[in-house]
Amino acid sequence: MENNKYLLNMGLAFDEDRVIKRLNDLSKDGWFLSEMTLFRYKLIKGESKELIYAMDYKDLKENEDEYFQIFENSGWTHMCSHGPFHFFSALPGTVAIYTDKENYQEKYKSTKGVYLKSLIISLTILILTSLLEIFVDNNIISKILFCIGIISVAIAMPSLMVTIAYLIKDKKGFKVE
Amino acid sequence: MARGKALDEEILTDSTYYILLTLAKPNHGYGIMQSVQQLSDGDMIIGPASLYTILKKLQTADLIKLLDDEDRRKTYALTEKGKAFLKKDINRRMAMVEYGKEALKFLEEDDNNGK
Repeated sequence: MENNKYLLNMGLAFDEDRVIKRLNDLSKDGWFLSEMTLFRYKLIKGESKELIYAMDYKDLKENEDEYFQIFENSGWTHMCSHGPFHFFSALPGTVAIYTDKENYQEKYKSTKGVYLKSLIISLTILILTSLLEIFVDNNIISKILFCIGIISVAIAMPSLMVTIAYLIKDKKGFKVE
Repeated sequence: MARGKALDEEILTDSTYYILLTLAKPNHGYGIMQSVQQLSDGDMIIGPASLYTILKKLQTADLIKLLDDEDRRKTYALTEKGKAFLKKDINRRMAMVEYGKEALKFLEEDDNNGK
């Protein structure tokens, strides 16, 4: 166990900045990111050296090599990926991965869109099932409707939270280091 | 849609403008990054995520294309549409600088009279 360390993944929409800062700090103690899953980040022990981390969101279909090569060539080492989330690290002073506002904001726009869509769909289903339930007498059908309602609430709540988190992030805006 | 908005409006951002300039000669990803830095005397530096995103957008807009793979590195070049587009934008920018020079002259005269 002593060669591994874990950080809780609380969702990048909520705590990207915290995770990045934590990873930066931990590199000084010799802990480096090696894996990301839905629930946690795995770090492994190495020789301590100061690194800066960055996360990019990109749906890669083809051309993967090209993407990672461009990062590699500009001094950013690929640490790990989880779906469309990619983590890189570099020596302090390396040029930031985003150097223009427009494309930086699009990084969040594309993720935000997915959650906004699931929020709208789940809310629509919730309203429809609630309305239907008023008119339905049949016991079984109303039970089914109730279940569908519960499921859509379960989807709507996290979607709403993530959407709000992104709205706050939007407000904070782009900072050039 | 917000995606590729700058291209739809036919006004290039400075980063995109520099990238197209360096592609007057075919170049690969890292080469573009270095050329932009050299061309602008270090004024314009493009990060990898910005570069990759811009290259994708330019490909989608049919302004640049990938040349047939010879080695592992991908080489980009302007399309005919891209060449016409870039020429137009260079001329637009030259006109802007000309107007700027006139304004500058007045501003400097103003400064001198004030002293």
